[in-house]
Amino acid sequence: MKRVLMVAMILIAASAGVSAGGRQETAPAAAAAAPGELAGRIVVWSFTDEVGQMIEPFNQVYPNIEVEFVVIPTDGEAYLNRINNAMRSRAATPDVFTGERAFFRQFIDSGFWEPLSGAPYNAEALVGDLVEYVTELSRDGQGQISALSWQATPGALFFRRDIARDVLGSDDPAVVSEWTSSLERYYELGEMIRDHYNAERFLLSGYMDMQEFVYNQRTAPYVQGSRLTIPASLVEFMQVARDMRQNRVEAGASTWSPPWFSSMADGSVFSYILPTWGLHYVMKPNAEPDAHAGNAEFRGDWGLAVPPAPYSWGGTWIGVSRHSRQKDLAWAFVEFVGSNPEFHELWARSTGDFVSNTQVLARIKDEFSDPFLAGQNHYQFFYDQVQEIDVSFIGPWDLQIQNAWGDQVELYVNGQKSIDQAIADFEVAVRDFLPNVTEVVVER
Amino acid sequence: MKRGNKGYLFILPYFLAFLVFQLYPIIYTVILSFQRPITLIDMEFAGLENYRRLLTTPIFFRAIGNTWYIWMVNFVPQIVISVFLAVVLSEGRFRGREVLRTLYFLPNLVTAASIGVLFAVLMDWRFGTLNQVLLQLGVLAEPINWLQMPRVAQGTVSLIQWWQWFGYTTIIFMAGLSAISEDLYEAAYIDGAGRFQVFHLITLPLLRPTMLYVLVTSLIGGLQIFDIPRVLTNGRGAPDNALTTMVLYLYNQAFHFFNVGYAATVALFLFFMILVFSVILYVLLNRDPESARMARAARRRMRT
Repeated sequence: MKRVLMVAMILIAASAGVSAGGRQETAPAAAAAAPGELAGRIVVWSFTDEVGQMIEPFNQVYPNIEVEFVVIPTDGEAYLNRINNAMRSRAATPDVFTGERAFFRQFIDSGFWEPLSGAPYNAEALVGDLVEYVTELSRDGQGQISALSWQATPGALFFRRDIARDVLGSDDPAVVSEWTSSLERYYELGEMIRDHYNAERFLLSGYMDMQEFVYNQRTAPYVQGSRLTIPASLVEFMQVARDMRQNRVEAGASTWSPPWFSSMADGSVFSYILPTWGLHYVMKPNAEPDAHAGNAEFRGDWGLAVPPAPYSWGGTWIGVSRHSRQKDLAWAFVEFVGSNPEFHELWARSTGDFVSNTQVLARIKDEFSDPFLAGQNHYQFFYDQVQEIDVSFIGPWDLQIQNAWGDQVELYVNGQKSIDQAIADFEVAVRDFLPNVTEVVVER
Repeated sequence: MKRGNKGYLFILPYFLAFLVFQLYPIIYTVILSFQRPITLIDMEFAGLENYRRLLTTPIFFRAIGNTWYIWMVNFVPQIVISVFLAVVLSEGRFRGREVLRTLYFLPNLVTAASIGVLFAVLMDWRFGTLNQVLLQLGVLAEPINWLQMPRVAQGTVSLIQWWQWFGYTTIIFMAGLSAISEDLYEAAYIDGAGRFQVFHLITLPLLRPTMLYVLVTSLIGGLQIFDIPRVLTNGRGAPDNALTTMVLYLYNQAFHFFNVGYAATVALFLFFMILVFSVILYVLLNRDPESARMARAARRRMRT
């Protein structure tokens, strides 16, 4: 019923011309046309199936645009290959496609998506209503917006309330946050948990879980010109990770490994460091599978606290293919999915996803309460976190550089090499995929 | 059309497929090897840069060493055990040998990726079965992070390869054994030859063509090993590149680091390496004078 109401709301808003909000007069005839006048068929490719659920609300507003949706998995780089081949052959299909945080900067630098800042799209007019980092991250070398996103993905720290009560005497997120919002105190809390449970429970499933906020603690891109700089915070992370392993503060599981997932349910781990999507797609199905499937009530064992440093992780962007022959229809879809306030509100309420439209966020953030989190309002929490995110240091090779660094951290943590040897081997590894880097500086 | 030319029509489909799907990709690979990426899809001419880089990159040489090491550690025991099993299963007239043959072959039917996942779980250092068993038995006091130890990780891949392929190789050898005439064995035993002499002087020399087949196909497959290291290390070749094999290196360069030109150079190197070693093996195992001498010697000994 709620869903029907929301669709009705969108229809009313669309008929009032709200969805065309902010478009300037320079927009082409097609783009300025009323939604009902735009007609045709577009093809949308994505690696995630959630875009498929957006077609129905889109068609409520644009009834004459037929959307064919194709999901291609990212496993084995299948999605990347399909997109690369389509772009290489300048294929008119797909008209619209998505890109994930891990590789979408490569799409932008390769000019796969149509620049949207200027006429006829005028996406700059939408920027004021969207989370800043989402649009800033999608700017190309000329500063033009290349893609939009329906979501923002600020990070959080999920904690187990029973362990918090046992060790800290309280499971109040504000009290827990006092212990989790700085790395020193967080580590101290880890030692307290170890001592309290005789090393049978752990602060983290694995030290690797901390990587995302550690990597977000930078102020400059890794690669500038032919120089690659590793900040001191990454070297400190190496040391902290080793201390955690040796002092049994973490359980030694790799992020995404089967033991990592299973430790969510067995109660042995205090915290997981995951962003917005971690709540619905990782924590709930693994920590309480029965409740997630609707066969039981959530127990309310978990809470959200402030991580040692703000971070954002993941996210999906959507843009108009440079080679689409129906860019007006494609843009209608991208604009709707990436900015339409009525759609964002519908999406937030039906999926719980944290949307990118700031007007919507401000309007609905007080209304959420998640039983998995014992009624805590995750929306308000993420709203506060998203204000802290800085993405000025993000570059196209971050994932590969961080993977190479992470490999060396693991070897150092296992005692297989010295810190100097690990850094030297990192330099060899990084030159293997960045042959133009002539100088590697590791700040210590 | 002359009647004599009609035959070309029949062979045309093969040649068309060959040109489009084999020759063209090979030529294109050579062209790509002289290019460097500008973006994900745009390339520019780079001269011999990729070749220079290939020959000065320590990780690439590491990958070659790893690939050979993993193959050798798997192949030598595989040959020994497979020949032994083939002889036992062929000669022995005991019950259940058909069942054993099937059991040995079964691992070959499981996909390599599944086996990789299975071993990753078994050998997980904190929660894996192996450590749990060793801890329970009191062999270990602390769990060992097996898959982070380079030699153990490589040994695990070799073990998986061995386990997957020894049954297949056994069956190939059994086929080879069945082609050896029973008369030879009979004559040898009548002449008083022992079991070891028969094996050494009749079975092994006459298994030579089968051995050559097994060796060459295993070499080609072994040097292209990719799936198990990829699954075990999530594509990273960790620990410390110990599981970075040549094809995994090639794949990562092309699809993780988006450098198709350099990956093409690696592919060409791999192609020539396999070609050269296949020829060497063929020549070594097909030396006519040697095999003729051994066959003569065998016959002579049987007569005496």
